[in-house]
Amino acid sequence: MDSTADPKGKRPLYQEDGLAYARAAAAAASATAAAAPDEEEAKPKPKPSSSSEEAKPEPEAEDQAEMPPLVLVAEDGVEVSISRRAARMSHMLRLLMEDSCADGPIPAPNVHSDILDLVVQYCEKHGPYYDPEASERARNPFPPFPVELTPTVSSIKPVTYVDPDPHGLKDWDKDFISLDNSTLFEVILAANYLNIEDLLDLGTTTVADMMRGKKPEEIREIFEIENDYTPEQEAELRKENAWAFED
Amino acid sequence: MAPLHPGLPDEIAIWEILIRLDPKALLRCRAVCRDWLRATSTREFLVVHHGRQPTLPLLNGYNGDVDDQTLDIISLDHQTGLVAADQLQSIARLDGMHLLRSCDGLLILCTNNIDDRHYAICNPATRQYAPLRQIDDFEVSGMYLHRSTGEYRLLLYPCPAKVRNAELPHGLHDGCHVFTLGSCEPPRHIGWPEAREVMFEANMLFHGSLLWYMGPENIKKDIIRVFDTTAESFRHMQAPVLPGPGETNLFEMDGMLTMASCNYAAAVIGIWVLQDYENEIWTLKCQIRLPAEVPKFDGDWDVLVTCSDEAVLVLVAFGYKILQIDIDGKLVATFHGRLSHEPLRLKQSLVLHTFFPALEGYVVNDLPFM
Repeated sequence: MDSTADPKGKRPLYQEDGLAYARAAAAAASATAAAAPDEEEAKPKPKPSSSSEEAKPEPEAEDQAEMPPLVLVAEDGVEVSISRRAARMSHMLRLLMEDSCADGPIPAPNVHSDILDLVVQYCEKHGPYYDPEASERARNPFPPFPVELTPTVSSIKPVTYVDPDPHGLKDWDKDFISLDNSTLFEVILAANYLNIEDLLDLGTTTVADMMRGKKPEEIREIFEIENDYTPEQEAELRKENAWAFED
Repeated sequence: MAPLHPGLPDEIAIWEILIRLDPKALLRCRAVCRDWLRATSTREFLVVHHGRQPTLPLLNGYNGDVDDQTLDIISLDHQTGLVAADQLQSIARLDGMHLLRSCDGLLILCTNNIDDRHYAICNPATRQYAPLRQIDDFEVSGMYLHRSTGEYRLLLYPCPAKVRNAELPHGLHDGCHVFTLGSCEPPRHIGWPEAREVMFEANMLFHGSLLWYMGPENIKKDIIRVFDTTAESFRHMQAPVLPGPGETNLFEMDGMLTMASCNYAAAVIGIWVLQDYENEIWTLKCQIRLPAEVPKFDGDWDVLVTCSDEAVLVLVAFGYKILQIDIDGKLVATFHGRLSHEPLRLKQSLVLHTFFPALEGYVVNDLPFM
């Protein structure tokens, strides 16, 4: 595992490189735009002073709605805009907004504009109902044992007693994610880069569901992986866990 | 490096996708390429993988007569695919075994052989099995993970027949004993002979304590017996005061101790939550009205309420049918089968526990697995 791995065995929540790159690029881009008085962006201020000419964006939904949308730049140079409310779903964009680095164009260098369109579509759909707190809790890693749990620590999402899907998002998601494999993988990569937990979960769960019940050769085909086992090695492996290869 | 897709890095392929798969699908993926085999065999990966498995109720999987019985380990998991429209797939089949206790991915079994009755432990996902001869003189009351050491331990009580006849084997005291799986030491006496009353009742593990609901039929009404696995001591806890008789079971929901009580006559299930752990105050969270598909109670029902993957499952079993109902009282699915006698649950694990090979008679991928 790389050094940025969470000690509890989960991946880090965001990629340091991507965030730093986006910050630097955004800062460079906005330096050429209308000058903002508070350029001491070295320290990210969660509560900016109100004496500046330009009101700094606060990460609350109400304010977000009034601010202009963010502009993302895909790898093919096409610009895709995303409302601030929808952008909250991306951990990376949320941090950029908090640090006031989101006023200029934000590069998404590994993401094609078609994919970016899809990602933005997802965020715009889910954005109004998005609660960052709830997602953080859901992402709570299952710690490896030995483990010390106090009665207050919860490792599962709260059970809802009303319709858990009042806005019909589940059905929408199901339609949304019926993509060909190539596009699906690109969406997963984009969700990973922009750190959109819910979309990453949706995409990876879909892939996992696709893999169940398939034979190893079918899985190799889907994901274009070369078989580097000798026939003897593969036979041995199958024999060891024969029950898993039945039907 | 052979990534999942030319563009998908390991951190996604391994830690976001493969980690979600049930053991059967994961084992197949090991045959895809060497990198996947290596990455999915590390202890770190398997521990997190186990943590993400759902904890699902086990069904009654006995086939055939007592003399010639096989046992299917079937959990209520529709994800792994159904054999038929409503027939769940068996994870493993064992010959001549009786299922007693479960904890995480492990099962405690007992051989059906009258002449040589002994306990055994197995992991159906890894096909590991070992007899437990060191506990021949005991009954197994519960199994738990001892948190600070990471050891799996058994709570035992001397075999009642022998105690009654005052035939305790030499050196064996009356009272509870604790045995660590894989240990060379014999079961350790910890006292509490009065805990005999709970020894043969169904229990559940909750935040490091074993719990038994004593029920209003018991002399000590409305209490829950608690065994603290760290302090190795027993105490009482207040249970909710139920409006009437009914089938009850304890489970965990959203990190809180929860009790479901089914009022058969009214076909309503009350869900009580211990929201105030310190002061032992229970709150009636909601009531689930059973749907029309559930027939009028005729004395032959089994009800089990549990929580898996943040969803409450209500299982009503009658005849050879199991109805799965959600928290809104809506029928979600129907299966063929019966519930296991005790509310046993399985959270599958491919982790290779070190105690297995240490036990004499250890086998893997062999009888009694069929």
